[in-house]
Amino acid sequence: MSVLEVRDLTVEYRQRGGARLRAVDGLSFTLQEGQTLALVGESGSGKSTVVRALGQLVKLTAGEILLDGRPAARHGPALRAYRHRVQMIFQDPFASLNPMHTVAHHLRRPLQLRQRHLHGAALDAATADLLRSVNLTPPHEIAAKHPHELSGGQRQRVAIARALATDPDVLLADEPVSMLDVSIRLEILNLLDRLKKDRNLALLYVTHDLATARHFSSEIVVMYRGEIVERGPSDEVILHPSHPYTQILSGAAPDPTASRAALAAARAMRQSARAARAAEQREADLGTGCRFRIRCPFATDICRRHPEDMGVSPGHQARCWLYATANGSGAVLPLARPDE
Amino acid sequence: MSSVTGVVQIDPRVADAGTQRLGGRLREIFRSRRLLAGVCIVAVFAGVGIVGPFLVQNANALSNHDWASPSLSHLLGTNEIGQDVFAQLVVSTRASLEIGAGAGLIATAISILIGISGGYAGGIVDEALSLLTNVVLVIPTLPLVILVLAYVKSNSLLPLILIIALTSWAASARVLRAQTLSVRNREYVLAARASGERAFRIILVEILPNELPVIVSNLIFAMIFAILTQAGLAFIGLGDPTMLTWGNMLNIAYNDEALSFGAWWWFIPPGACIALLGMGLALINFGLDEVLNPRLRVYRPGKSR
Amino acid sequence: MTAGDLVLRAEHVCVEYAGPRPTRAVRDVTVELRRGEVLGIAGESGCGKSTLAYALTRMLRSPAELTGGSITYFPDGGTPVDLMTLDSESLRGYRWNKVSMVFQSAMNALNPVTSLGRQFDDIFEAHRPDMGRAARHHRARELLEMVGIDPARIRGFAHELSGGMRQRVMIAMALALQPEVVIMDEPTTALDVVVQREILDEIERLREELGFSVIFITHDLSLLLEISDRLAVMYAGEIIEYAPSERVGSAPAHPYTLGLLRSFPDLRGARRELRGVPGTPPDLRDDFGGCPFGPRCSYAFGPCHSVPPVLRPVQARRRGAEADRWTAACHLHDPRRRPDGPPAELGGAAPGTATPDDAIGAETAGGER
Repeated sequence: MSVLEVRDLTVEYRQRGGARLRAVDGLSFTLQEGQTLALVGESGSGKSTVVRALGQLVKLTAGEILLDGRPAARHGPALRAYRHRVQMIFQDPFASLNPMHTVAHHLRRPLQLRQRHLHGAALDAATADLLRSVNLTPPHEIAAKHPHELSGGQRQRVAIARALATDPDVLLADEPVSMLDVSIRLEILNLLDRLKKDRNLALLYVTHDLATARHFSSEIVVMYRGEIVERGPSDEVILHPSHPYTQILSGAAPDPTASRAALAAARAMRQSARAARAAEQREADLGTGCRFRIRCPFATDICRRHPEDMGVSPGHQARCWLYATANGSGAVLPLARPDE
Repeated sequence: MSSVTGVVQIDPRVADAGTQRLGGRLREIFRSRRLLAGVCIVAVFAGVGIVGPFLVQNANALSNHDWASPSLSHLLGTNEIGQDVFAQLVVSTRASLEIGAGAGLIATAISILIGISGGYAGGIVDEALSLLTNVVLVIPTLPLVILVLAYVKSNSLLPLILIIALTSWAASARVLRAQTLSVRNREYVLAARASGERAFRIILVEILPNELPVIVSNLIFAMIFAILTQAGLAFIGLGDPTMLTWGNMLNIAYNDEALSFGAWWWFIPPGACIALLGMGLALINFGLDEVLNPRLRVYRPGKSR
Repeated sequence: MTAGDLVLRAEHVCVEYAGPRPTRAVRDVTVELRRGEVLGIAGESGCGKSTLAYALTRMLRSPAELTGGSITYFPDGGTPVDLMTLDSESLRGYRWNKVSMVFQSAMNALNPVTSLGRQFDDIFEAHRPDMGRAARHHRARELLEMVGIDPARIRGFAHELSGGMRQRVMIAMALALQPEVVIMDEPTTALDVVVQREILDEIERLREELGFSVIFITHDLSLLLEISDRLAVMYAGEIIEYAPSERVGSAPAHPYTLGLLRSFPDLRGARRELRGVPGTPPDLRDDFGGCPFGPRCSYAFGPCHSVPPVLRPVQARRRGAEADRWTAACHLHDPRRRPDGPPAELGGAAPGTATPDDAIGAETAGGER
């Protein structure tokens, strides 16, 4: 059952000199109860903006957010109710907790916001429950601590507990583990996964790490420069990346199982495919047309027209002319996949 | 103890730290010698200001022993009309402290209100408040105060305190605005917004405590500034001449040519008091910096993004 | 890319941060770097790897100080130099000329208020005083071109560049005086995976062209498996495994290394149960009663809690001289304490199956790509 639906989400920022930067352009997706959707992209792709827009921390320029099928409120008590149901977990465990306050403070406030008459012993018990649900024990000792007395992993657990305090239906996790030590990342992701299943939450997992995106989500959405360039079931997208950008992302990840010879060959291929000025050109303004065409090894003239979403296989789409069929868009292109 | 189950255990040693916290913290705070020295100096002045006037002789009483040098009956001698200088000094302490504290507190309060609101609100509110701040910042304080005092004739300290406060809040407000701009984008503030907290609570509970070190520092500077300004004003003859303040004492001593009479006991002590109190407050400021700085540093282990 | 003779050796290095209870950040670490080799140092936050890097270039600042050990530099065709004995003049000749460093975040290492050209100038003025202005300018442009940045940017400033480009500038600066060793401290951590790949390719290309050795420090073990020849895994200030990279990925010797490897889910492999390493590293101010990893180790047995393990050659890796170049600090590999050898996933033989050597051979030959 779909809990949160996003339609044509567009967010623009005004920059110095009056120019407008479209950080998110016409995004649409759905979050399902009990499922994880992974939003994958580099920095500059707009993924953090998406999270902030869904958390109503930035204004939408266009498009709508539907909670349980009804448009999300933008002001007043209805907005507060929305916030209780849609909670966020931030990236930086060091910055998401106020250094001046104890863990108990961080948890009590949202608990009280949700249930106004919670005081005293009942409040303490509820706080302890929250801490136990994220495996922070003994709860009473942890509640008295300040953030700087906790490790990164512990802080992130507190952040998760805080998000759960208002009993939400949707969790928006913005790169929740990328600033944590490697060996505890999986623990935290497993925790999120378990909480999602136990409480039947809809989880949006934003990350730049394809591997964890694949293993912890049922659906993956790949963003590039504000738009979705590929989407589909996780295994499908990872094992058969269709959009050239996804292929680059997938090839860029370190592959410990490959032999030395294979790695050297892959590297040689990349060197020759890469123009020396490519990195700088990325910043250029492109106007209309496919935003990826400057970096795309398969770009042709038709790419000057903005591509639509093309089906690759059931449930799997890519926004690329390479998958156009004769009747789909009028352009006839070889259906061969760009990978070997 | 095996942690393979994934349950995070707390090191029992750390648990005891809480009980030792209060005593340890006080000791930690006063580890800074500067802070200790500053607090002592200001405490002495505060003590003198509060109880002093009850313990000394009448500061306004005239006597026949004018120009007397320090003796047992007049610890700092007498002035031109036989008033006891020491008594005057003690009574002036109270007035100067009142002005310093009063004007300092009011100025800081205004700067908090304007600086933090502007910084948090953003947009046109911020622009407007910034404009106000900049204008007040640029207006030359002393001539303005002189002008206002020329019109206001009152016997109480209040107008003086108000005027000094109203002309000295701007610099502090700018600093607080800048700090607020940075703090408001921190993720814990965003998290509070995402939880549905109202703006007022966010400012009070999340933002203000993090700016406390700057606010305290600004407060102390404002106090020093107020004391010095008032002393300066009194010295050039503005303000109520009948009121006993250090600046007034200096003014009268100057007018009565105490210097040529060699009556050092009349004009050195008030000046020394001004300087000493200023120094004490400044020492507190530097000392607090020393103490608070390690705590201000956000703990980051070796890894970064 | 074959490794030759030694170029840098650090022996029994100990670094302490002074304080009421000193933090022993580096504990009796011995590493060797061979000419033309890439040595990876892997570890998480607080393991001491950055401290070690600073020690190797003698850039430690109080309260950190080197409390033991020696660092020897072997110039090509010259006499070995003990870095501890160098005075500041000779140290300057060593730093940047022979050994240079690429720091962790280029945003902080590049001066924001001076142009890039000026910063290159600083390097040349300090180390090549007889280089004329025109020569310096020319060389700076050359360096920028070498790392793939438009030389016209020499007049620009750091904030005009993207993260990846700034890191390239850092690399250019590190290579400015053609050093023999470049130490890179998490050079790609703050960058996107695609940019990271570009930077790594760049480093590899430059290495092939100029022939310097690299010490690559990072927490990303999967990255090191790809790019390094040998790697050292650090935990709680000690090196707990020292192995050839090509094979440590399939069967690591130390349980921590195994845990670390498992923390990187395989992108294209089958789905499996994912777990990291629960628990937290020990406080570096303490003395460890036994193995520092003991409390978190799922393979811990008797001696692990009382006897500190030392680096010893790992059994069953007999491939000529490689045998004694794979060491691990773990009692599981001590035949006196554990005669049966370590468990299968740590390199031991599973009863009745082929020896690990056969298994390794099969994996590298029939890899997915």
